Amino acid sequence: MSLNYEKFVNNLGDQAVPEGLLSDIVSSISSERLAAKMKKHLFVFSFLSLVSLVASGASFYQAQADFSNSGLGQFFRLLFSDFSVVVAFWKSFTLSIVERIPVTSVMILCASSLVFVLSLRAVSKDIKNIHSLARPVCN
Amino acid sequence: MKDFFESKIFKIVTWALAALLVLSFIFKAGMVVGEMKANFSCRWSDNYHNNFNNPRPGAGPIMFGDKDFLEASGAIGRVIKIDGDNLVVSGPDEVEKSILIKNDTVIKRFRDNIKKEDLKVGEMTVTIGEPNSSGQTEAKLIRVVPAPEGAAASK
Repeated sequence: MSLNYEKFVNNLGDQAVPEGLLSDIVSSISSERLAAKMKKHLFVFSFLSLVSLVASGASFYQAQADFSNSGLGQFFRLLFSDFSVVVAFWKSFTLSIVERIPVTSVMILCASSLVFVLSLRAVSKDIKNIHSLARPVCN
Repeated sequence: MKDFFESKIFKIVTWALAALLVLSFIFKAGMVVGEMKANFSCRWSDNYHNNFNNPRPGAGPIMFGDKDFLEASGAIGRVIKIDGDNLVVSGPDEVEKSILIKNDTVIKRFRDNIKKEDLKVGEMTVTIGEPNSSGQTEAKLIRVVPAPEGAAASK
């Protein structure tokens, strides 16, 4: 495409071609291409952020249910009601807590939240880039 | 030499070592906890008939609800049987656990220390303790807690 423009501009003769026209045209074409690429990026990451948002919501409710089923809250309450006994048997208490942490649902929640945050960052970056490309080239 | 300690490579190596240390620690903790749970579950299953004196119908393997293994170092659940020093509690997953009350076990209801004879069937308890070789939990602390609202209504 840029070669065709180059040939066209070369055939016009020196007087007819304003200075810097070729580079303006080439840069316009490349920015159009970049904009098209950014739009594709934006679509993909918007979709990804939407999916990960839904996944984060679902995994949050799952983690909440798993935490309440695990009885962790009851063990943590012992810290307030029987602090001295808990300190005396800190090893058993710590193991009781660690054994009950619903690791799988915490991992799923962290992973989906991470994907959501990263895809949101990519979306905001793409939007910023598209806006900066949309500004007209003025010479 | 001074340049090396301020270089990007040095920072990357330092952070990689720190990350490796944390990961190794977490991995080791997972192994220890996993081994404890697996051992306890195995002993619990082997001693089921002795501890609970209640042979299950059928000869199939004993399952732990929807879990792979049982928690070894504590128990939470409703007292379903009191047999001398042995307390049987049923957890939220309907899996029974045998709690062994020892002479030094602290038993509490609200602010008061109570004796094992004061425990009643149907009470909700939280226990911290250590697993023994018979698939029981040797209690250090047994605390009687108010039953959860949903459970109280359903009982």
